[in-house]
Amino acid sequence: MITVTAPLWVGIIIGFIIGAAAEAWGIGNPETLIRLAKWEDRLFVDCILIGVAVSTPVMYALYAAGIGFHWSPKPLYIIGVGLGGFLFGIGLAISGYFPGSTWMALGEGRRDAIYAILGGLVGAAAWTALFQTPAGQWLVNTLNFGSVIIGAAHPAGKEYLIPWDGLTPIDLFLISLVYAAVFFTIAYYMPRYKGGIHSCIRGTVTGKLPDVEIAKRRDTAMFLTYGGLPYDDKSIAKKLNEYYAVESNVTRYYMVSVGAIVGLTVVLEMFLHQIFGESTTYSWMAGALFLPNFKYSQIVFKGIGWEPFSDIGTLLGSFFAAVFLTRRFTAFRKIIPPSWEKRFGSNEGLRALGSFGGTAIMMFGARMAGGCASGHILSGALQMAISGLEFGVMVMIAMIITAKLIYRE
Amino acid sequence: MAVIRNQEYLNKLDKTFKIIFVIGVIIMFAIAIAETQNYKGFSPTPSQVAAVGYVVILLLVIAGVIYSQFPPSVLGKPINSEEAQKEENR
Repeated sequence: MITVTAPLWVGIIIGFIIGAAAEAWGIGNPETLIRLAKWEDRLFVDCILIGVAVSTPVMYALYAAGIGFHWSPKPLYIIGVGLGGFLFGIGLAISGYFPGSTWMALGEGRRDAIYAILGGLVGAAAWTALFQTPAGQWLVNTLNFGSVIIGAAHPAGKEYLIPWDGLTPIDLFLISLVYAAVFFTIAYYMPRYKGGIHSCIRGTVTGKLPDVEIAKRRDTAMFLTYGGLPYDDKSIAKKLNEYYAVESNVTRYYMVSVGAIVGLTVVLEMFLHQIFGESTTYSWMAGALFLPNFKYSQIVFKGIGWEPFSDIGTLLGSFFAAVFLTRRFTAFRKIIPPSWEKRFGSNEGLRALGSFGGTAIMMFGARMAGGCASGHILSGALQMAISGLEFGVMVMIAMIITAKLIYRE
Repeated sequence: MAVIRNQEYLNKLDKTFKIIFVIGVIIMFAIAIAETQNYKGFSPTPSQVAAVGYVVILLLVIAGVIYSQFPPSVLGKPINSEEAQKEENR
């Protein structure tokens, strides 16, 4: 089996690609994720679905051909993963952030992200403190089935899988094709916007959108570029931000390919070193800064890979995209997400509290579950990890309920 | 920081920052490679990460100072003066 372990600095490049690609889709803007929680704009879900649909069969085909990966499906401890996912969804709906998007938002020069990052540190520290208590141990040990993926189990630290009885790596590849078909079908038919009819893929392929969808895309482009830098009509920023506006705009194909680019980058990362994860860095920082002798900090210090470097890369990639490509760099001006402003007004202190508190809850949930949108939902779903699927479902349920209650729309 | 309206000056500032960014990224990668190329551990040390992170934070601060002088825009066009006034009054 062919295996490789790349040096840590390569993680910066991996994070850079993902950060730059996701910034172009607007994931670093908290309004994007608040609208996701309100189930108004399913862009992020589309991105994940496309990424998994393209990348999972590629990875399992390579595995069947003898390529070893640094697998890391998160352990399936039903209660901790489920409750963690639920808290994650609540915090995401309030703050508009998941761990990776805090770094992307900082790269876009969002003042709001500073409060979110501080909240993330508090949330991670809270889980570090709880982990060594009986309650924390109960959450991670009750109904713990270990690292299970559809069709196989993964022995910790190994670059191979143990297929279920009678299955071979070829069978796993065939399973991944069915799995990918399900993801692709949902991505193909689920309309991007509430009230719309086209998914991202169908909107791109047809090239023509009804007026209602053009209006929604224009509205999206407006909040994404609000407070950003000027650009002219012939710039790449115009094509990236307003790709709905010109039918011959080739960047619309790039925009729908972003999910696949992110997914394939994660496959490359798993070949080179490890899965893509972004919340562990918060536990690592909280441990190094405040709680170095806690049991959970010791586990994180030993087990963390190049996440701190890939997180720096994510920030840098988003920063690069916001200055050179999309021109969405907001220079740390006061900008309140429109959905938040509509509901709570433009008081910055209140928004800072929402950003800080929501991210703290979200991060506490992520650490309880052992992963986040990157480690559980993207990397987990890509590996066909059952824990990732459970986490994803719980996040969806919690964020939609929370958004309904909070934003009252 | 006061917003500047002179387009030529803004273009110069923009180009200046882009050059600073490219130089900063090169320095950052040089530091990252020097710190980790021969490192055999799986997990990084805080000092390795901090050495790289400081460069990025410095770039963010410089960008914040430079681009806060640009007129805030929406869809690439400066936000109209009434809205800008409203922003300042908040």
